[in-house]
Amino acid sequence: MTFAAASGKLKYLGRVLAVLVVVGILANCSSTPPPEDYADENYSANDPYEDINRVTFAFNQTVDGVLLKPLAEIYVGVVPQWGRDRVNDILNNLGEPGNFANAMLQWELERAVTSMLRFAFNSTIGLGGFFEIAEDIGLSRADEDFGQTLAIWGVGEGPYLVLPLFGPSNPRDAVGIGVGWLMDPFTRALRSHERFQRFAASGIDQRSRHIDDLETLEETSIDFYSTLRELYRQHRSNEIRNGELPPPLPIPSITLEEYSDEEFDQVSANGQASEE
Amino acid sequence: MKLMAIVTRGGLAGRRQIIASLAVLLFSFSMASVPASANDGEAGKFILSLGERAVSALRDKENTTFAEREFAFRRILVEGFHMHTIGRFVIGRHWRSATSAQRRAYNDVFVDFIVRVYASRLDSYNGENFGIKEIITSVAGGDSIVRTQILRPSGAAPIGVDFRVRLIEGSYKVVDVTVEGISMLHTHRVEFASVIKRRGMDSFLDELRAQVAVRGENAAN
Repeated sequence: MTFAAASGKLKYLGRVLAVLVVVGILANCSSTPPPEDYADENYSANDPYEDINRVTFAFNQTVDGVLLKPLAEIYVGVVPQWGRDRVNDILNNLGEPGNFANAMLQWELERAVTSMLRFAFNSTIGLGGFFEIAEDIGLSRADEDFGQTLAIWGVGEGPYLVLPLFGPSNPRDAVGIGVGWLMDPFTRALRSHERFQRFAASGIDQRSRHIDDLETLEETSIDFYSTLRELYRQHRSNEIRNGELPPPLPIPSITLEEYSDEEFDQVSANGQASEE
Repeated sequence: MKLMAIVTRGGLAGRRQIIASLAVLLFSFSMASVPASANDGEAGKFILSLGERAVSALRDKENTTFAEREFAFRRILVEGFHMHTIGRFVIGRHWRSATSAQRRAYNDVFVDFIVRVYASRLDSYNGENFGIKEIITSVAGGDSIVRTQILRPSGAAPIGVDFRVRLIEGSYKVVDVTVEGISMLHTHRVEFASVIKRRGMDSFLDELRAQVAVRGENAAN
């Protein structure tokens, strides 16, 4: 190893450590328990920058409409399912070191071992990740990323943010994307045009698997922005819980209340509804 | 040479077992311990039969029109779900500030809206297998949560769907459905609140009606 390479590695390590320290400080001051009042829609949406977010959202929708979605459609039209599965398997396999590292940081040992074994099997018997064979022997993929690690460490999600091109996010996941990129050994291993190819391929791969879903979702939503916001937030918290059941929604029993509703109707038919 | 040996079918299967047992031996963690079959809970049976009805209603694409599938789906929804509780929860506190005319309008359109939206969203599923993973009872004020998995073809990861079941006046009714951790009630509640807050109750009701009308046009084709 040359001196330059060694110092480069040290710098890289130092940068990661610095980020970890900053994050550790953040973790201690910014995790607040969510308020109990479910009725408060500000808690439910947690979106103080909604106006800016909606502008960014419209921009992303435009980019998606003119670039990403057409590319994904061409990809689906040209490459048969078998080929797309291979691309997906390769990209997933490249993500395993990140899954392993984050599972370790979360002290999820079972998941860490699973990721390690998956990477070992798929990279060798699976011919460099070309074939997903670990699934067949009971090693299911367990996605972990640095955003989830931060959540496990106690960092709150912060306000909802729509990032240009990246889409739905929040400060915690935005930091997670950046640190994840730094942590990933393939970021170092690949040359810059290969990094770009990987980024583009994973964008088109992801998009190609949701062409119909997203179209139906948009058509059947009365406010697509807030539907996606809610899907993103609940999807992330499900990932953080690793699929365990969330605390139940406080769904009241309505059968007894029906009568009082009827009475309330009678009253408000004459007078004005006085809430707010 | 070794590679050749394990690529042949029998070799691979045998190898899998050895690898699997080795993995378990080496790392004595209990990996993915999923109960093999359904528990015999009443709530579970209810969901299983509801799921089978839904699958058979949505599966046959060639001999039915969308309108027919939607009609079958509506019956399943109205019989199996407590739409009154759902509708009331989803509109949240805005119910209390609504006029009685607005409330009536909401009650008139809500079930149609939900039927249209979910019949459309579910119409892309082609009767995949449906199995119960586990039943958790007595969570949240006596409700049962039935955790199921929709298995998909081509080895894609199964979709986890949880049904929250409540015993209402002697029969089981679904009060919430959670798909991969995403609660339908919560999602609609926040979506509705957002529209009401930004555009007001009357525009919100117009949106619901418009959605029903648009979907209806599509169904006619």
